[in-house]
Amino acid sequence: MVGRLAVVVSLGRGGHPAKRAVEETLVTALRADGRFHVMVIPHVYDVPVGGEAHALLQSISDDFVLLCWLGPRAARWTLAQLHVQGRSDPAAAESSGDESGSSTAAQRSVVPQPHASRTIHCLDLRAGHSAKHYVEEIERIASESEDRNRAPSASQDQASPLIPSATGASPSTLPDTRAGLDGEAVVRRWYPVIDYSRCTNCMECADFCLFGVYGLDHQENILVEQPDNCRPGCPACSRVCPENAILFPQHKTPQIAGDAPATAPWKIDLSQLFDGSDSRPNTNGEPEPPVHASDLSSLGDEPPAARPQHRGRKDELDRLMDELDEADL
Amino acid sequence: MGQLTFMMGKHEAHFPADRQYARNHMWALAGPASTRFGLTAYAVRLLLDVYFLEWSVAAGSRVALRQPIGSIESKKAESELYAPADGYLSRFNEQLLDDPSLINADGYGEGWLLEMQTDDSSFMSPQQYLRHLEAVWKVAQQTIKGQSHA
Repeated sequence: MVGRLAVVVSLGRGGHPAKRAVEETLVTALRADGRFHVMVIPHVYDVPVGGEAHALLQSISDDFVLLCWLGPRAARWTLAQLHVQGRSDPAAAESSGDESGSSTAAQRSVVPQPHASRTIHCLDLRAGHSAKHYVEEIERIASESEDRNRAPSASQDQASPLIPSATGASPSTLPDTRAGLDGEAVVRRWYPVIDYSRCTNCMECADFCLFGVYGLDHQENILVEQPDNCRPGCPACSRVCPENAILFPQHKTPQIAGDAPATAPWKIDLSQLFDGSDSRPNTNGEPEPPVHASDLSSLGDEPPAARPQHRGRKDELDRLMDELDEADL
Repeated sequence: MGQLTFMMGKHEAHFPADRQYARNHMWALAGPASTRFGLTAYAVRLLLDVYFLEWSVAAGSRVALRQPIGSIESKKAESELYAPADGYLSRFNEQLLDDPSLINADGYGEGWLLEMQTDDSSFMSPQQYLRHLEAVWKVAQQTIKGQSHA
């Protein structure tokens, strides 16, 4: 007997009626199909560590599908930060510009890696496909997972790449199919997500962040240690990162949200400052202003009274701190 | 040689009083046959460590004010470079193509950019350039605030 593929539906923030309709249609269709173990959680980015939804995600030991309102790259690394590890779906990675594959990420990842060899298929609900399309895609994934399960040479973490009904546990022993939704209201979070396939451990982010968000593990690898210390709305460390390895999945700029293909490192374009035309400040959402906050931050001002002990550029970064404080984020 | 100072936050940007300044943050030092141009300390501070420089026009060509003539890149920033005046661009600093870090090390001397023959008389005095910077600097700070909402 082959177990059922786990399908996690991560709800959109705020309960937008259109999104709810999509989610409900999908959940209904997937449950009606009968071949999937359907679980519903809050927005995966808002899942608190140690909560019910986190426990549910961690209880899945094999391949699974995550349907969420995020791109595959952001979803995959958000899960990794929740210690939910796995290879990304090669097809999804290719289409999203995620060149990370899995082995590099596994080598660079600083968190424990149970189930690192299973595959997590992140499907982006923002793509606006029909429920039928998503169900067909999940059926294809289930079929491939079953094939791997039957193949004698298949590498497996566990006895089965699917929910292991044949090996003792049954789907009924898994947690409830809704988790983290029925208690207190889901709190919207804001924190950086590190794409370890790109991170070079240069520590620019740790040097830059004034809120103590970043820390080091025992091997001195960077990690997001205190995510909820992050200043809501502030994407500055993402702009500082030379490798575009820091994502804020809820930021409206595709590159920062992890939606744009991760290509060349971010560069500040000073052209509008250097053309002698005395460009005016641009605050109305028109073309990109000439200087990024991260750049001007290096120009210095009085330091605040207390700040974390990071090496280098301390005085230079305080201007951004002041500016952000004034900016009513 | 006297110099004027502009505070970019805590950073002191210095501007020699022996030369004039263009609005695109280049200094202009008139010689017998041509005027030499380079990036001011303000521009260099915005760029930080320069590691790449290229020119998109050839030496020995006429250029117009604000015409793109090349590009510059540092670890954190990149920018088009624009002609500081109308005129005849006679020479680039060949040394910079091998080692653009001279712009950081000696921006007012060996790190000069180009020479032009120009009749332009609209360059600013050091004092005028400082006033220009005061206005530009405000704009830059407003831009920071605009961007921090982005």
